[in-house]
Amino acid sequence: MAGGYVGKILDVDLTEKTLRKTPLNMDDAKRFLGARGLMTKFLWDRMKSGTPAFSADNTIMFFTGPLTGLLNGNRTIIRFKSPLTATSTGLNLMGHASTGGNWGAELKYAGFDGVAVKGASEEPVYLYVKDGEAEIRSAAHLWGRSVFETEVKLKDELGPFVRVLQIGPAGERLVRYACINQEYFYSASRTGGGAVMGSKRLKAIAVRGTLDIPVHDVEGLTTLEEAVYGKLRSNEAEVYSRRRWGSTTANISASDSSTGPLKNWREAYWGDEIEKGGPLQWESRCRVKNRGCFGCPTPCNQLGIIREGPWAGTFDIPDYDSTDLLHPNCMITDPNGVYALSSYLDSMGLDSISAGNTLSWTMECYEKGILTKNDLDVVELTWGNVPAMFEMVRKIVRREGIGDLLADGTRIASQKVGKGSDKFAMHCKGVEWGVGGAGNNQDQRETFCYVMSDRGGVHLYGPTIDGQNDFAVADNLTICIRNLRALDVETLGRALKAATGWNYFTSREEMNRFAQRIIIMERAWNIREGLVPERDDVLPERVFTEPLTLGPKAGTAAAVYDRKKFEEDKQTWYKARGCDTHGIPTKKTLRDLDLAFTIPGLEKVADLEES
Amino acid sequence: MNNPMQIFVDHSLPGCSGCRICEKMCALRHERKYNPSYSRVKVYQFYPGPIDVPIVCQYCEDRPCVSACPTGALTYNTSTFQMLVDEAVCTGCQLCNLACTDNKRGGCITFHPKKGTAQVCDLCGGDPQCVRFCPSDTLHFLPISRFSKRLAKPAKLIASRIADQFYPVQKEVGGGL
Repeated sequence: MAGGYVGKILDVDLTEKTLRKTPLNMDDAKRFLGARGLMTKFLWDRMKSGTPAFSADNTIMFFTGPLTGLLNGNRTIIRFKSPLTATSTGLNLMGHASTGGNWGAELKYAGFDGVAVKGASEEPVYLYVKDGEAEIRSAAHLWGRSVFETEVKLKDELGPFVRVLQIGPAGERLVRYACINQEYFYSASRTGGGAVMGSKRLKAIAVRGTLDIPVHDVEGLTTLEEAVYGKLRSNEAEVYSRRRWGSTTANISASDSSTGPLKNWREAYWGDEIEKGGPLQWESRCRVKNRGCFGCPTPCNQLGIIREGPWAGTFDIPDYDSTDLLHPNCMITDPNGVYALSSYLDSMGLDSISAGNTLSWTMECYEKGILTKNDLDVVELTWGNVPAMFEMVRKIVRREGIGDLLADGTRIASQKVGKGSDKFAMHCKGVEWGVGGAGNNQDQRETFCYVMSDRGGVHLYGPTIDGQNDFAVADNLTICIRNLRALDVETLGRALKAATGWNYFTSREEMNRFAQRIIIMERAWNIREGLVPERDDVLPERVFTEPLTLGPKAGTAAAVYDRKKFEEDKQTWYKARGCDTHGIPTKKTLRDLDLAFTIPGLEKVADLEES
Repeated sequence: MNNPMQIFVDHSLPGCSGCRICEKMCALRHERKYNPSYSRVKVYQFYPGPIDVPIVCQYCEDRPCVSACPTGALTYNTSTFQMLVDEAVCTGCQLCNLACTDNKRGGCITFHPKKGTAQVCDLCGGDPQCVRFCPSDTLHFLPISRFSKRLAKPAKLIASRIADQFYPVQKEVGGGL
């Protein structure tokens, strides 16, 4: 048995109310290493093709990797059939979300590498995992409670050191972009994992562990602890800025370089206005301390409280993506409004990226007269109107009136509303755009890469080919991408060797090949589930037809994405990833990457080219 | 009587980020294992927040834990100024930790998850790993002579002091203990 893994998966069937401990398949572990790869393989093997997201047969998995709980590995990766990611014909595709905090490490200390949940319970339940044992318990007293209440309630019930992943009211009511939260503000937010948990009536998974994680070479890994810590702390400026401001500094630089969102992605630059909700305001008015995930040498979450105005007393940890999509994208000019909304979305268990996009899309529809005030249940949803946004979020969470439509996300809403509103519904494959360097213009790498992602417009898929490879490795090792980028391939290889005893990542090429395997397997799974790359690898119309008019890019060629250039970029990507001109992996690629097992399944739905 | 040589691990407010590197490194130092349950320092989490509070032996002058130990397993070495547990003698009765909490201290002693024996901070023989690796400038290694009346405090009290910094929030904190 290789170290780094504890060697067990907890298999839960909520229909049958059974719990099984399945040994981890070590051949798969060696081939796919960790969370993201292992789960995709699980999905391929275990789930029948074409399973709808809200069916009981959908399996939602919470996995760790070989470095979780060791070094600075701490993330939990969650995969499932997503209710949000979809082909243009409405077939559900890959769902993926990840969260830091303490949960993943605690799960391994509790003796499991992962939890896989299928079936659906009739009454609300939660799962309690402790030291190699697990049980299904009633969650009747938790159902309907906010994320914040559930966290405290479960800790009161189970003890102070229990770690909880839970959904809020949005997940219970199957809002398609509901997220999964822990410790108040850490959330596995994208692609609607919360709704899948809600459809299974699974309110929470509480974990407590006091067992050892076996390690191949403890002395070697302990030495590496020092080396990695030193390496991550050596970039003084980076450490300082992360500890003091966290990720929100990026919304200023994004606007300055015209890569941020403004007014539902119509523009990308907001001049001095962007400073108002930025990190300096948070620091001087609200911030109290910073928080970090398990074992992180550079904690970056800024915890604080709103001290004045109607939302005084609200705790929040503002994050780059959530604040950017609420603040410039919905044009809120009151910073406290941004923080209050961001906190409210967390407490309801809603993904603030998708929620911000959905609200900004609705605002634009209202401005253009596509949706009238009566359509919006007389909510005056104008740009930057924070009370109206609160009201609309309440409606979405309750799926009440117009909220029922908006709870399905911009793809479905714009199809139902029609009247050209799909041209400015800023999503790829149904998933609303995150920020991370995207912009409504051409020379932004992310704008293009949202098209290629296995789960739509997610900024954590990675910008360039190398960037995507980094993310694939980070998601498998469960190391935060910011920390991964500061480490070299050699250190990662040594860490894996010390943890598992396997020789991995001996060169950058080998690491890229490994990442390619993961990325192609995901694409193959999506194609099996109904993805037609030619039809579905597309960008919203706005990107090609409405050039930026503000900021440094206005009036230049970079102000709009040329359609021809986009087609060329697409072919370049297909080629680099070993796909044919239709975006489908060739047989040669699949065989080279040790993915030949996917060929029979793929041949049923697509014509595979030999090479 | 204060001994000028006596030292302890202090934590600053609001400080702690809750990353638990201290727990991980403490366990590695003392047991060579990856498992924070072996740690002598424990990080509590209070809500609303989360507000993180690391609790570790504060080397109180009166040491109610030592006098409460029925077998003499828990001792204070006056020449090395270290708290020590004799694992062969410790029965895991937890009376030491009870004495700590009963005297309104922090409950600073942890227990081995398998053997049940007491685990107490021995300052790593002079180079505490928790202080060395603390990334948020929270844990500090100080001579106790400058803080003569210092006693260990309960986690909840420290949490409410941190909560005080979140004006104007309610002072009640919960969910952590």
